[in-house]
Amino acid sequence: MIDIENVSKIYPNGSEGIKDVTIHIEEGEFVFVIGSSGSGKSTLIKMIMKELNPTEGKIVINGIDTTNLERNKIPYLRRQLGIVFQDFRLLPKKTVYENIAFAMRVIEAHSRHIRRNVPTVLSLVGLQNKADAYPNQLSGGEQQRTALARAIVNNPPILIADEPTGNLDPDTAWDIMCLLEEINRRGTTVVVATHARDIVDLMRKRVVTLNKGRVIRDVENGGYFDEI
Amino acid sequence: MKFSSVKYYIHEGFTGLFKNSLMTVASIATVAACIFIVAVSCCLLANMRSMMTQIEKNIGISVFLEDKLSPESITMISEQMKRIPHVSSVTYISPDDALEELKKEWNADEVLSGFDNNNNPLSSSFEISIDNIEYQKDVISEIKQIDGVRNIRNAQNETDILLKLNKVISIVGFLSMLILAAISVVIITNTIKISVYTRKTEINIMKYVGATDWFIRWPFIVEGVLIGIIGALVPLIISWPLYDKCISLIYVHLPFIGNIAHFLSGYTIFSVLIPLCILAGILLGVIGSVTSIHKHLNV
Repeated sequence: MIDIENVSKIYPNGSEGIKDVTIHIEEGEFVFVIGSSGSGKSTLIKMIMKELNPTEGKIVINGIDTTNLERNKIPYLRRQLGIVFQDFRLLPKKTVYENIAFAMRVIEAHSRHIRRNVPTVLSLVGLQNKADAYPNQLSGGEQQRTALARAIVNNPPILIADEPTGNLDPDTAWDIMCLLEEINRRGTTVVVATHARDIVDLMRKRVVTLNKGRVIRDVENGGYFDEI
Repeated sequence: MKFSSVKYYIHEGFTGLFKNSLMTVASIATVAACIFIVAVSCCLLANMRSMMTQIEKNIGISVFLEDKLSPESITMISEQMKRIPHVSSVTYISPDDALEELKKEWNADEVLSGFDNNNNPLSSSFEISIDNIEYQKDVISEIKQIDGVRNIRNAQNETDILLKLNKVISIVGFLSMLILAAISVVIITNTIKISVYTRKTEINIMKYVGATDWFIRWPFIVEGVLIGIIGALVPLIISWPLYDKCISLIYVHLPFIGNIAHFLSGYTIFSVLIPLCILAGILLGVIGSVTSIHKHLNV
């Protein structure tokens, strides 16, 4: 589903973001990417999203080779990916419902599908009663649920979460992780870059550990690697 | 492009106007101020040009004929002169007419009382007007070649001054319009840039959820067009009655101006200015929004 092969990223200022990283993620997997700040997690996520281009190597997402992808094809690559950020990135002037419907409008979905799908994902993330609320009327957890709902409303095969619990208290963080697991159970491939040691240890999923831009550990049913 | 998307663009364009009301007002005010200045300058320039042409038309050429020409040859000369390019009218003045005119002008019947139709010292003449005084010299040299023409009189000094004035007005007018237009473009694109900048998060999110560049641009273009249209219409609607009022005030308080030349009517100016300015407003809006979004699309 996601094939990252011998990928390196050297920034224009000469600093190395990622060095010779190879990761293969199968359809339906749940993978944690962990590592300290500056280990290259965000660089990796940005390259998967094609916000950054690798200096070397190639990345294939759901059969699409992103290496030489034309600019006007990038939106169609991103439609394969649901993306969740640490800072939620909701539109403050739109309600919860509108924020989610927005993701469907953008891909020119039919209004009928919007009216059907948005309430469905809202109840999946447990926000059916908050449809008309604005983001600033929601708690952090609720905002992240909204962001999650937006990420999955178009039913993408892959969900990428970059520090999804970074701004949340431990209980709420756990709820969000459970929600991610639930989404994974429904068949979506989930990749989570995180710092949340306790959660990684508890969930016993595949854990890829990055250090200084290299993969130093890649284990099934792993925990947080103590050496980093 | 799907119909539902078109509906969405228009809807978003309008909501964009209202949700960012402060920036909208700023943008519209900027466009309106620029268009107002351009409209006022246009009114001034158009009137100066039109007055110049009116004055030019009054500067005729008098062509005096040799004495004792038969009516046939006079008609022939008249026909020949009408055929010269840029001659717009040829009026025959018989010696009798000329005498009558002179008597009226001098208001001194006594001095001229000895003269009547039988001993009239004046000769037949033609009053010629031309459509553009730049060609006066060419026309005169053509007339000189016609048989039966004794003398030609024209106001050379006035013509030269008018020609120079005309040139100065054209150059100054053209330059000032150019500078005004350039300043307007810079100010308007900057205002729209700020308006787009305040919404860069929105553009960013659209990119992440897989929106194409055009899908992001269209609502901004709709918004730009709306700002352009409103920004153009407001000053035009204000300046039309203002212009008419100014003209009638000038005619009342400075009546001598009306004797020299007439102002263009509000309708004449604004029937051209309104569509032009709306077009300019739309163009400015579109160019402003497209160039300002461009930077934010590279994510």
